[in-house]
Amino acid sequence: MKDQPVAGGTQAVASVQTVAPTGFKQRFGAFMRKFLRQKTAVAAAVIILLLFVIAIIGPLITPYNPSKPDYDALMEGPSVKHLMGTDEYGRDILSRLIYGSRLSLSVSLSAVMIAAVLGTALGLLAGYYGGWLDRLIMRGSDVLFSFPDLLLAIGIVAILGPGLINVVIAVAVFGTPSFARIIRSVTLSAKENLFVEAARSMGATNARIIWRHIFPETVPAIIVNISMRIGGAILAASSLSFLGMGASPSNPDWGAMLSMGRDYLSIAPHIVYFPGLVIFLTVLAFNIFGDGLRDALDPKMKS
Amino acid sequence: MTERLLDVQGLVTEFKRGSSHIRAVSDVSFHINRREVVGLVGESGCGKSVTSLSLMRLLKDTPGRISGGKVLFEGRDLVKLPEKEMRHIRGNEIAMIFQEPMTSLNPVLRIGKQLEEPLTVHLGLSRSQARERAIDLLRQVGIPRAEEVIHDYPHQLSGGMRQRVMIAIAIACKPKLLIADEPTTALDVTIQAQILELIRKLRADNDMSVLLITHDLGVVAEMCDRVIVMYAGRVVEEGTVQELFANPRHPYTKGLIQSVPKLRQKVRRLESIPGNVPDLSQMPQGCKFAPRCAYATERCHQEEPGLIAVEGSTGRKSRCWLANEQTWEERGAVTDGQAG
Repeated sequence: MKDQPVAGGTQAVASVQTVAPTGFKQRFGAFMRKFLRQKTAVAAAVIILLLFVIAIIGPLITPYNPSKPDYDALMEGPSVKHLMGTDEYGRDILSRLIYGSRLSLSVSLSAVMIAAVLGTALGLLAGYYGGWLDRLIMRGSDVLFSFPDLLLAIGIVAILGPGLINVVIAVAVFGTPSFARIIRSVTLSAKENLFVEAARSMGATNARIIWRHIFPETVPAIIVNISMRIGGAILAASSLSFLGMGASPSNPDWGAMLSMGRDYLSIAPHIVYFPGLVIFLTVLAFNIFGDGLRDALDPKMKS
Repeated sequence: MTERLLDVQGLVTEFKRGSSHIRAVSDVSFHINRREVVGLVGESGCGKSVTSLSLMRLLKDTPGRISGGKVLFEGRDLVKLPEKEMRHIRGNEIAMIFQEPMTSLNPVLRIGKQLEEPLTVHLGLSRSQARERAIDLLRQVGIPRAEEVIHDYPHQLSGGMRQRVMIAIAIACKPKLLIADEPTTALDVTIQAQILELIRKLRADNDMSVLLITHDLGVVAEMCDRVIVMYAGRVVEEGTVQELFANPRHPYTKGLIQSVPKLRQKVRRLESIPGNVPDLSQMPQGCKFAPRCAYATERCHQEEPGLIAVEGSTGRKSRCWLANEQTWEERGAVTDGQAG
């Protein structure tokens, strides 16, 4: 389920090449027009925005302390008092989910950002210089690609030990090769631009050409891949927590909540139901949002 | 006046295709004096652009590489120069303008930024100095409202304006040699004339030499002091503009001149050279032009001529066995026995 949208997206993102040669304002205007035309993507964007707002102002709106047990209300179903019910310690699930959004979003965002920075740098180097450096970086990516994502992450966490920081590292490591590959392919086409040759004919250094003339061309692809990867990263981080390799079970992490509630699935399904629903909606929103971004940024998909 | 700024000696550039090497430029020699405008003429694919890229050592991203010869620029051999010094020469001493003004400017950077870049890199100017100089340069190349254009993006300018901006960038560091690779091909005819006039004016103002690469003989006649004609990666004829047009000493040059329509020309049919440029991987033996040449003899098909000095003028050369046959224009096709 995790692989499907991301792998399909990878190929499509690779085709996001140089956007039509117009100024930034025109580019942005055209992008907004195309993006707003896609209703589902706009809805996804709204959900994502809402999620971020909730994560940021979370402590102000939670009805209960997320880690305070209430032994008078164990495993209660949804009610007016507890909108999403309580868990096996009587903790309010809604409050825990709100706090959990901070964890999930920060873990996945930082992991994807690290992957984006690393992967973009590697992709630019590989695509621009070619030769043995290209082969080294791309074969390295192939090795990482050949592992199923989650297996690789489990392996990394197994080596580094459990904990949120290590989850971030693990998710970042398996996200890097996808950025490297996509950015490499965009770089390959971007460096054929005449203005790159013109810059070189003016004596510009390689570093300047890469940063000034090639990197800006790769930005749309980077943005799209980030948005597509976040969904997968949330799922991966939750999976690791579910398997007990990420956040400790007392933390209000979505994956950890799912893992804890599993034991009570038959008597109190709502404990699993709500965290699962939130993970599902979040990942779905990010994937749809990513698809929408890709379509809006791809110059070949003019309607 | 006759001091040589650039002296190319036996330049060979090869492209790798599979395991074989294809010679795009083979044994090309020519020179450019100071303050001289030299035209490099030939059909598409004859190696003009590869020659210019070889001079600048800009073949890095292609499968091509210089495999022989020297490019002496003010006595230094550019072929052997370390990349770092070469970078200093590019833009600073030799600058280049390209055929496509539409794509040789970066679409996402403002004109000012792109113009100031070489100034800050090569001349070490500060931001405000560079800005001032950039406006000045834009005025020099005849762009009105230079102070406003600096804040524009390339797509806001017309093709002619963009080419002016490219020229402004090229002359920013007062290079000694300007290589113009078909600078007017992508422009309207009226704009072409303006751009050529501009290049001529800038050459005089800045004491530059110009290597003008083109397939347009009209442009050559208008602009150049000397002409080098290339065919199939070789120099086939060299001479001053007047001599070359009045008395071409290579059948290919003659064919090129004849295929330009002239005013008040009575003939209905426009001459053209039969056949195509030979495939670089399947070169004919002997003279490379022989299969298309109306004057070709048995010897032409067997042996390739070297550059033969044309008698009676200095510096004129032709790669034709018949270069010094006084009468060959009138004679038409010759038979084997008459050649010699």
